[in-house]
Parts: sequence; structure tokens; C-alpha cells
Amino acid sequence: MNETQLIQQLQQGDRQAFTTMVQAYQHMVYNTVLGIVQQVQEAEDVAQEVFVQAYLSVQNFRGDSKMSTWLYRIAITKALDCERKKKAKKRFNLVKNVLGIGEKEEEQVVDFHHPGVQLDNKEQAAILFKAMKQLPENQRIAFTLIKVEGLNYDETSAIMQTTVKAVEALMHRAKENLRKSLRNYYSNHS
Amino acid sequence: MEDLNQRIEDTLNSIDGLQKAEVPAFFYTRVHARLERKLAMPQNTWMPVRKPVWVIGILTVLLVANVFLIASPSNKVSIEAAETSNLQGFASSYGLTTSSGY
Repeated sequence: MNETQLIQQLQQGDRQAFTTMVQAYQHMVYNTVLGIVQQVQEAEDVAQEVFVQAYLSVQNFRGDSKMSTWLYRIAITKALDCERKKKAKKRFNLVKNVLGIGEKEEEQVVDFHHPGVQLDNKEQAAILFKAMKQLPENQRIAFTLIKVEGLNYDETSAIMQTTVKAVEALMHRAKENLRKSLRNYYSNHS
Repeated sequence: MEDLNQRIEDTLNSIDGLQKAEVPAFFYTRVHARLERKLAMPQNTWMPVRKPVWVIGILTVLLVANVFLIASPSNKVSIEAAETSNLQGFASSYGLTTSSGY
């Protein structure tokens, strides 16, 4: 079954086509989401939501991009939504703690160890993933797609709906910001 | 200083050649169950707009439109006219008009 047929069958509500889509793209979606949310349980939850959303909104998919590009966009949007909700919850808890309302919730900051990192680089990669969380959203997406997902600049620009030059600029700024964060980190932890 | 720069560059390159993470077991089963749950949920057709910002916006527009309509001078005239015609109708139905003779 080619991509056009798959999309047509999905638009007709075919469940077998849904199974084919999930099996074909689950690794791509899960790994993209994991690179952004950096938590295994949350990544699974968000990845599930991506496929449900894809099935429910496939009628709006006009086929003017590849299916993988479309799924990448949904995955990034959902992952960033999840991150925003976490940040909002954190801010709300902070306000509650300041005002002395409700029970005090201890925030647990756990380093993220990506299962695909080589053992030798485990500690450094955890520090890098932590620094990536501080990046502005666009820089974070570009860096994740290129460095974590291993996409090229063309593919990344198609997903981000921008030019290759803009992606290059985002990557340059992301690396500069990461260098600053890492310099601060190592200066404080030496 | 050079050591620090080298350390930073090594950290930046630490995820080069990253292997893909394995999707958790029974992922498809859970996605399928989630989809079934979502499809079984009754659709909220009576309220197509659910984002609070849109709901508040629409309510504000309706409120402003109502206030504007009530306060507009043409509305006052038509209310007075309606009241007058109502009174006349009431009077004529009970024979209370001045033209009714004995």
C-alpha cells in the first residue's frame, strides 16, 4: 500500500489503515516526542495522543506534504503543549507555595538518560538534554530534529515550514545558547 | 580554559550517532484503546467553541451588542410606540375609547 492509498483509506475511517500507520511511524513519533518531553512515560502518552489526533484530523490532510512531515508537526505541537502545561503547573504550584495554599509539592528534578546514548557519553548527554530544555522553542525543535532525530536541513525546514537558511540560523543560535548554558553549568559544577 | 571549551564541545557532540529508543511494549494496543475511548465519547455538538478565550470573547460581544441595542434611541421610540398601541388596543377591547357612545 503506498502513501496516497493509506491516506485515502484513513479518510474513509479504515481501522486497518490506522494499524498500518501506527506500525509504520510509531518509532519516528515516539522518538521525536521523547527528545522534547524527556520523560519515558509522558512520551508514550503524548505519542499515543499524536496518533489519535492524526486519525481524527486526517480529513483535513490535503496531501501537500509527506505523511511523515505531517505526523512530525502533530508530534512537535503535542510535545510542546505537554511542556507548556508542565511549566504552567510548576508556576501554579510556586504561587500556591508562596501563598501557603494547599499541600506543598516537592518538585523532583530527574536527569533524563536517553536509552539510545552510548554508555561513555551518558553523563554528558544528560547535561546536554537538560540544557536543551532552556532553549527557545524554535531553536529547540530545530536542534532536536537534526541532532536527536538525525534529519537533514531540508527535511527540518519542511517540517518547520521555513527555509533552509532559517533552520541554519536557528541551529547556529541553538548551539551558541547551549555553549553558554554548558559554560555556566561547568563553571558551577567544577 | 581550553579544557572547558573542549568539555563543552564534547558535551555538544555527545548525542551524535544517537540510537533510536524502542517504543514501549503494547504501544499499538494502548493507542487503539485510546482511539476507541475517544470515538465512544459523545461529541459536544451544542458548543462547537471550547477554548475559554473564544467563549469569553463571544459572550463579551453578545453583552456589548445587547447593551448597545437597549440603549439605542430608535429602540426607545419603538418601545414607546409599542406601549401606546398596546394601551389603545386594551382600551378598545374593553370599550374604553372616547369614541364609544352610549
